[in-house]
Amino acid sequence: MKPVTEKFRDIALDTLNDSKIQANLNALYEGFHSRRIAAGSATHNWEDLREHGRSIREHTVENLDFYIEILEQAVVANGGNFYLASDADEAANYVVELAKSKNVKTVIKSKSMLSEEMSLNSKLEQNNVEPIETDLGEYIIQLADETPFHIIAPAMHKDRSDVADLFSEKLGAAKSSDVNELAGVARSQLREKFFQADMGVTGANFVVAETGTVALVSNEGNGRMCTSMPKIHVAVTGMEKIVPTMNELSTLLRLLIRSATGQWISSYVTTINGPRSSYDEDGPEEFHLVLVDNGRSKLLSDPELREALLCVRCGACMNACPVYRKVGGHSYGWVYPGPIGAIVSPVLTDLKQAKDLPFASSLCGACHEACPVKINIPRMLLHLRRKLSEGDNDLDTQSSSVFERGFMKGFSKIAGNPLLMGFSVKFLRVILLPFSKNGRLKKLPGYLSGWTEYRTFPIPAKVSFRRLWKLKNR
Amino acid sequence: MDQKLKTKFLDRVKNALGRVSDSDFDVKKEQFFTNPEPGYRDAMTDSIENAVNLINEFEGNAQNQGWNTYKVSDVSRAREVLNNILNQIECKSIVCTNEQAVNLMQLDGLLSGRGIDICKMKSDDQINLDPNEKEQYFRSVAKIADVGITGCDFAVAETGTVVVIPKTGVSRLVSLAPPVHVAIVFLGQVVRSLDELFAIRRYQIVSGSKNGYMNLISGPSRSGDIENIMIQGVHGPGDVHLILVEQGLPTE
Repeated sequence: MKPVTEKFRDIALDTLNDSKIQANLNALYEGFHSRRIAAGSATHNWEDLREHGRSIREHTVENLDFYIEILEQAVVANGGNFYLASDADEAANYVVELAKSKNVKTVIKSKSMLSEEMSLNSKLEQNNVEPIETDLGEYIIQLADETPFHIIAPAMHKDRSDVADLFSEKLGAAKSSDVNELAGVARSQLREKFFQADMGVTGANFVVAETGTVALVSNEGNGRMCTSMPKIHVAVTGMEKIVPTMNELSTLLRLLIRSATGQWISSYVTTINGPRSSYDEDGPEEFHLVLVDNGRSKLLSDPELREALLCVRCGACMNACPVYRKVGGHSYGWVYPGPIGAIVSPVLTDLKQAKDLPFASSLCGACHEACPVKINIPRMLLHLRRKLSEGDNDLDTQSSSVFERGFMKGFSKIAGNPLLMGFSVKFLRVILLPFSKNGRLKKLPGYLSGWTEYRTFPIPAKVSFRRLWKLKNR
Repeated sequence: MDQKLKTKFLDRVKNALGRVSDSDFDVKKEQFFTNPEPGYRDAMTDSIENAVNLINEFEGNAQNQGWNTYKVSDVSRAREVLNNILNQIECKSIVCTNEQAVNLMQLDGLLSGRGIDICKMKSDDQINLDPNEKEQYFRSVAKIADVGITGCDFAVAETGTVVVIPKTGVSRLVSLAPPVHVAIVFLGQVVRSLDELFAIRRYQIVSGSKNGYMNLISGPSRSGDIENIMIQGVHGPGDVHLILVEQGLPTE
């Protein structure tokens, strides 16, 4: 997928002005976000589980080189093919060449964010192979020729009338306002494809090193179809998705599923160990696992950013994020939106183009709190901000102006001294009082006017917080 | 894959991790992989010793997951329940697995004279087909069947999950392609949680089991992709039934 991260502000503004998308975004909070919290509190020792999940992910990432080699041995021993792709193009070429050499006409796909990194669909099309997304949301997105809006619910920005219009236009289906009927249209369209396709491409939620096992989470059953019907199954995934043994799957599946949709467990979890064996009645004869770097080693090599590789792609951080819930998924301009996307997308694509992303956060910490493996996203956003504001030729950024630096230095001096702070606040109140109404300023001048574009600015209160605190505790 | 490309890839990962030497591969292998056998033994013992409690806990969680459950005392009662389920569905054809739990239902007798086609892996009408033709034949039948009937390898009490491991006689399609799935679970097949399930599976695979494909099925196929409204039966069965037999599965 070609990044358009530099258009953050434009797309965000469009999204903010779209009342329909805003209404759909509101539903995120009531839906996924509330259900996640309920599922977490229903889980015995949820906090311990998070710690355990984090330690599993940390251990694997710290020993990634070791586990990649173990994984290769296991996949090959199971009769599968193993491929390490340095970047998205290499991965796409592998899949395209495989499809061409096996004379594949149609590829059925189960949702994979990695395949979005690879622009796999358009590359298959260029080579006269028809890719068909089979997850209902992804199918809608593919028909609309868009990119996913959310990593778990890719078409969440569309309501039923959008979907009805789309199905009518692209498939000639009768327009319906019944969600079941709309899903029925997709079901019958895709059913034939499942039985005819020559190749299935899926992602992998986790890959087990010891046994070479791919674990796939799905609700609709399309992941099962893609790994049961075609002759060839290709799984593509990021190299950080490895876990040591099957023992670790239970903890990580609980964390992933309960944080993603708030379900106790998804309808299906499928584990695949390679091609069918002589004991199998059916299933793919060929299995390929493609493990992709595509910039992840940059995250790995930076001790400040390595933590981002612990991510299990549940989407909880975006559901919790007050910025994502306003600007939506497309604003972030690449495969991964929301708080974790604001770290991953700039590093995996180009920080120079994505300068706005690390700033698309209020640093409120909701993402850190929501993350099932406790990734400290705000800390990493600050790290990227620092990188950008210190000035860097490679990034085409300049360090902040002398004025700004001086101002912040002065502010830190004052704020660090209680006496000076108290005096300054009082002084400021005296100056600002004549311009204020009910203790607030309607407009700030010049450089600061952006602040008051959508809200008023409070002047320092008559009695300071410190004073109130003292009085209260007397 | 190409050795050069592989080395390049691994070197980049090693550099990123700041590795100076990689002589500790065997040490890590020794250290990081514990013996899977004790975990397997504990899980199996727990499953048998607490079979009655586990099947009860399983039933409750399965209902939460959207299974229609029917608990019965023995095989003959199970047949009656299965008969009732099939009566309620306008059922013309059935696919089922060829395994002990399903064979005990004696479907031919149960459905005789009702004009319902029953297709089972490796049954007599397919015997003169070669393996590829047989697979194609079964696939075409599964595609249009109204009901799929399976047993299970395990069930998980924590999550209300039925675990189906495809093998000889057990096609991947029976629990997937038809709009209705009926699964039969016997006493002693229920494990406590996902921890026990994966401990067992890890041991089985590490010790050479060739059946590496496994489906954890927890209720009907569903999707919330349009307006976050849950609908049932997208690509897999939307109507799912679970017959719980309070009796151990007799060995063949």
